[in-house]
Amino acid sequence: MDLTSPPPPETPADALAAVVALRRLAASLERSAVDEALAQGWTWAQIGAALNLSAQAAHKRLSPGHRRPSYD
Amino acid sequence: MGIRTAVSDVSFMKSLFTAAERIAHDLGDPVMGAEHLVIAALDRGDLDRSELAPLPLDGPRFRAAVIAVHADALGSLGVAGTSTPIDEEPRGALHSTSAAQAVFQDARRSARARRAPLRAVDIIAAAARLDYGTTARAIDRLGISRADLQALAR
Repeated sequence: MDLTSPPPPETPADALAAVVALRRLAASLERSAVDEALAQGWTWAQIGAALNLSAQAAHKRLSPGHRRPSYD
Repeated sequence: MGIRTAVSDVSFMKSLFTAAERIAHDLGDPVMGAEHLVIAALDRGDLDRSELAPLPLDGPRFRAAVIAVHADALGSLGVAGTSTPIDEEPRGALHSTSAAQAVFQDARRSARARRAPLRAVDIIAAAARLDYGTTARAIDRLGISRADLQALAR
């Protein structure tokens, strides 16, 4: 991954499209990782700590059936 | 607006939003966006496909264009990856992006100006008025004139 040469600033539309795509991919990775963590018996405190969130914040945002992206 | 039109619009909205949210989840998006509304509109059985001819546009093509827009954007960073589908029941219009809400409101205004029920082409025409974002890029990727899409609702 070469994030040192993203779309140049004179093409903000392309750069912002890249931001959107990265957000989607990150959110997908987060969901998969949280699902796997829960399957392995992780607590919400542990998941929160891994994400720099409190247990309550992690549960509120990431519990299955209640998920919303952090950028929404 | 008559009662029949209002009832028709509510029914249209409910089925469209449910379908769009299902599409969003299938594409790995937790929140319904304008692009998902367009795919749902293009997939509707009550869409008059003769209105779309000869534009190279249908649900599967637009869906593929949306996927390609994101893939291309990631590719510009040297990143490859796809979002995994979300296994949750649709909740309706409460969970939608501001662009999706704007498209829907724009489509409703169009239909009201014609004193007619909301149609799938109203959604498609309204989406074509978006200048930026995934929907606009997907339309451009398909090489379709936005003016041609906007004319669908006239």
